[in-house]
Order: sequence, then structure tokens, then C-alpha cells
Amino acid sequence: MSIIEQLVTGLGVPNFAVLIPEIIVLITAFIVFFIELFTKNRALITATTIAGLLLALLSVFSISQGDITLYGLYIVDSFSLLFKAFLILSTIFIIATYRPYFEKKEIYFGEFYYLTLFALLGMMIMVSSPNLVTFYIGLELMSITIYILIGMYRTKRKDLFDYDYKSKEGAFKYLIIGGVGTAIISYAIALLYGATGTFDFMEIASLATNEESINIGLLAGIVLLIIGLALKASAVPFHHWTPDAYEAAPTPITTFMAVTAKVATYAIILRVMVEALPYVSEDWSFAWALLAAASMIVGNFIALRQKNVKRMLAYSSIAHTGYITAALAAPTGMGFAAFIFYSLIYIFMAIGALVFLTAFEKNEGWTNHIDDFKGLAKQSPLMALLMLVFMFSLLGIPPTVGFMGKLGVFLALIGSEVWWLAVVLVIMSAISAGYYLRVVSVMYMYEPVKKLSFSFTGAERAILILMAIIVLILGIYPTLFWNVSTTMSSILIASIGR
Amino acid sequence: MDLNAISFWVFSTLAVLSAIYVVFGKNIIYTVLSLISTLIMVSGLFFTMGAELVGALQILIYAVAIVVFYVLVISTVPQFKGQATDGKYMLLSIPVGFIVFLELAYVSIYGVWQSSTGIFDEKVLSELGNAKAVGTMLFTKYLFPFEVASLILLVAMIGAIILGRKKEDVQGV
Repeated sequence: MSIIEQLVTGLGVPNFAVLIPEIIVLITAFIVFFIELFTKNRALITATTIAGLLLALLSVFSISQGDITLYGLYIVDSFSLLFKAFLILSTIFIIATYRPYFEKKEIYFGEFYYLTLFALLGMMIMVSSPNLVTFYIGLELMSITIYILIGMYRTKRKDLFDYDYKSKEGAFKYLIIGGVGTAIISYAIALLYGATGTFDFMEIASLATNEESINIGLLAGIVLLIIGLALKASAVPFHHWTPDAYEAAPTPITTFMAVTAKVATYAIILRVMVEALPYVSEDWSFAWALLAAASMIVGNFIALRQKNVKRMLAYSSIAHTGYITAALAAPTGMGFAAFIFYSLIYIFMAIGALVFLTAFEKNEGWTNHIDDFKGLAKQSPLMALLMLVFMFSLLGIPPTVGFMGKLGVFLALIGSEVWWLAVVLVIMSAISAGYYLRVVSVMYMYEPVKKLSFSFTGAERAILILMAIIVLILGIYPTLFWNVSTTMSSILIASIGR
Repeated sequence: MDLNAISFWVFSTLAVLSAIYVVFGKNIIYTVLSLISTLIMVSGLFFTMGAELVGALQILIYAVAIVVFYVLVISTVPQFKGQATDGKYMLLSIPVGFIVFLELAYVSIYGVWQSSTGIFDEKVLSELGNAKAVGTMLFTKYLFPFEVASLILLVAMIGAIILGRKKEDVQGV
């Protein structure tokens, strides 16, 4: 029997039953593609996208038996299913805010919808990759789609041409820096392959079993992989694309980048580190600790100086990358649980704050400048109250869930005796009060400067209220998510050396 | 002298000559054309050594895709400023180039040493050939990433069309 016959007979048919969510997302993307081609019915495009995503979300819950399929290149386990469910859920919320915003700014393209779906597919592939090749290809599908989405602020309104120009600038910046990140990751993968002879996480783990097994090639591969992942998750000092790209993109796309894409990146960071390099955790946990400390310090201090709230939230998302990756400095079950918990709750806080900006930017005269927030509590009391909840949660004040997230990371760091990082985390959280509370104080303690009239769609109101309720409920009863995170982290640890 | 040796000498002489013109040529279009010639000659060298896959990839990727991209950039940027006549860059480029050469030489020789490991050892390769071995892996085990790469190309194409479209054409939406 020739070697080709041996290979082919060993393969068999992939288990398509566990791939149903991905298949539904892909088919929905192509259906939207063709609907957009033949009709200009905008309500139909939105409805099809959301229906497809809901179907995909339901199908995630229908999978009861996980599997490693597609010839060992695709893993469906509870970790990937959990993240897929949350990625799809957040995409549904974000897509519901697309149409009113784009129509107001006259940048409506049907392409927004199916490109978002392709990016989501890339993220789903990324979170369920047991192999460096699958991870790389998913990351690329996500990144390339997002470069395009940032640059799509092609407005027909003459007064918004500045935004048009800035959006191209942001997209170009992200394209160049993201391209460098891709190059770094591919070089890292080449080095890891050269050192171990395999792309598979489990096999890499079985070869890198202790400190002695690390040679110079493997070490260089690990360092470059961490740098590339940090760049994609916008950790300092690889964050320079973030403020420009976030500020320049249309706000719903910013939400998509800051929430869905980031959470997918966090998930794959955790999976690569825990599954591929579990026995050399001392090396990477210190690298992540340094990156986390730098992100917290730089992100928070620069955010203090921002006058534009959208740009401020971009720096705040850099700081949150710091808080979340700080949990990796404690490579224990507690640390991983805190990492997963914070990633999940970050979805609700960040969607809340950014959808708020989407809703207000639709109104004429609103520029996201901090002065526009003056006296908002008098003009629009409900919205101001909701923003207060999100700001408190991002800051981490007790009745909201943000406190629980930071507490989890803090306790994990204390448990592993990484005192210096725990101290940095607490001090930087205190400093972040400077800019989060400024938004709140400006809303409640000033008289309105401009006379603006606000109008919001029902979907935006509903999403904001729902997010605020989730943030408060989880803040009072965090056990709900904490149990899930602990289970996930123990499953992840149990899968080492499978 | 058999045909293989003759073709080796012809290809390598032409490759070196056109590489020298790439470095010292003054006209930027001629240097790019000369670069294409170098790459095609190098792929000819691969063919004479029996590495038919690498030779074909060399023509497909370097000679066609990348050099055409260079020509496109040169022809779209007006008054291209890449004047190669300034002598002061020589001071930096010659030592750096030499170091890169040493590294490449080390890696290539070391790679020849190490390349006989893995499931495709020399015996299998002599039975199958390079193209068949790579194709087997690409269309069995790595089929899924290969298919997803087509999606990436589709997305990139859509993006190029949307972002590159003229402003006036957008009015019909």
C-alpha cells in the first residue's frame, strides 16, 4: 500500500454534526450576499442576518457531544462552544444597531452584514482550533475582514468627509500593523514547527514538557507568538493601531472590534497558552504579566487625557486587555477561571458603553466630545442612568459585575503570590476612576451646553436596558458565570496531555 | 558534458548576470525586468536539480505575482523617488547583505542535513515526487485551512472592490 493510500484510508468522513453553527453562519453569509445583490430591501437583509445568527446560536446548544474532527484540525469542546455562543450573541446585539446608524451617516452598504458574518466565522474557527494552522487561518479571516470594515466609512454627506478620510487612515494603519502581527505569528509558527515538528497543540505540549526541553528555536517561537497575540489583543507596547482604528471606524464596527473580535482573541490566547505550552507556564506567565502591567499603566494614563469619549473607550479597552491578561500571570485553575469570567462579562459592559455612543452619534451635532455629555441627565435621564451603570461597571464599583471581574483576577494573583501585579491592578483601577467618573459627573453636575434633541430606536433602548440589567444581576449574583468559568477552566486543565 | 550540466551553467550564468544588473542598473523598469529574469533562471536551476515543485512555485509566486506587484507600484506612483545612485547607502547595505548571505547559507546547509526526517523520507519522495507529497497533505489533512483560505481571498476581493470604487458610483445604492 502506498503512503497516499495509507493517508486517505486513515481519514474518514468529517463529523459535520458538530460543525452546524459554522455551516449556518457561512450559509447565512452567502444568502445575505445574494439578497444584497438582487434586492435593495434593507429590512430583509437585517432580518435574514439576525435570523441566521439566532439559528446558529440555537444550534450551538443542540450539540451535546464534542469531537475533534476535520482530521484533527478542528476541536469542538465545551470551551469553544461557550465562546461561540457568546460571540454569536454579541454579534446579534451589534448587528441590531447597524441600520439606523449607517442610514443616518449615509454609509449604508449590504456588505457590512455579510462581512461581519465572515469575520464571525473566522472567530469561530479561531476559538475551536487545536492546531496552529487552523488558528492562523481563522485569525486571518477575522483580521482581513475587519481591516475592510474599518475603512467602509464612505459617506455621501459633504460634512462628514473628514470622517471618511480618517476611516481610511485608521484602516490603513491597522492593515500595516496587523500585517506585521500576522508576519510575526507566521514566523512564530514556523519556529515552533521547526523546533517540535508538529502544528498540533497537544503534540507541542508533549514535547515541551519541562524547562530543559526548551531550546533556542522553541523559545524564540514562544516569544514571537506572544508578541503577535499581544498585538492582535492590543496590549501595550503593541497597541498603537488601537486608538486610531477604534476612533476612525463607524461606531457599530468599533463595537464589533472592541467586543467580539477581542473576546475571540482572548479565548485563543488562553487556549494556545494552556493547551500548547502547559508545562512551561513559568516562562509565558511572566511575559504576560509584563504586558499586562504595561497595558494597565499606559492605557489608563493616556485615557485620562482624552477629550473624545470614543477614543477614551479605545484606551480603556487597552487597559482592559491588561486586566484580563493579568490573570495569565497566575497560571492556575483560579487564574484561568478569572480570565474566562472577565472576558465574558467584558462583552456586556463594552457593548453597553459603545452602543450608547452609537445611539447618540445618530443625532445631529453630537461629536462624542466630553462637552456633549454635559447635562445629559436632564435631557435624557434614562440614557444617562444606563451610561452610569456601564461606567461604574468598567471602573469596577461593587453593585456592578466589573467589580467581580477585577476581584477574581486580584484573588488569582494573590493566590499565586504575584503581589506586584495585584498592586498595579488596584492602583490602576483607582486611577481609571479619573476618566470614567468624569463622564458621569459631566452628565449629572453640569447644565446642558448645546440644545440637542435626541431620538433613539427601540432596538438601541432595548439593548442598553438589557445590558444594564445583565451587568447589575451578574454583579449581585456572579455565581452564575463564575461556575461556568470554573468548570471551563477545569476542563481546559483536564484536557492537557489528552 | 551532459545536458544537465550545460543547462546548469547556462541558468546560473544568466542568473548571476541579471542579478548584477538588478543591483547596478539605473533604469528602474529594466532592473525589475532583470529581477524577473533572475527569478526565472533560479527556478530553472531548481528544475535541473529535480525540485520541480519549488521551481514551479518560484515561477508562480515570485516571477508572476510579486514582480507584477512591483511593476504595478512603480507605474502607479508618479515620479518614483527610488533613485539608486546615492553611494552612501552602500556603506550600510554591503555589510548587512553579507550577514544575511551568511545566515541564508547556514540555514540552507543545515536544512539539507535535517530534511530527511518526517513521514516523507527520501525513499517515499523518490517514489512520489515533491508535488504529489505536498498535494497529498494539502488535500487530505490540511483540506479545511485550504478551503478557508478561499474565503479569505473572497473577502479580500470584496474589500478591494468596495474600498477602491469611485465616489460617484456609490450614488445608486
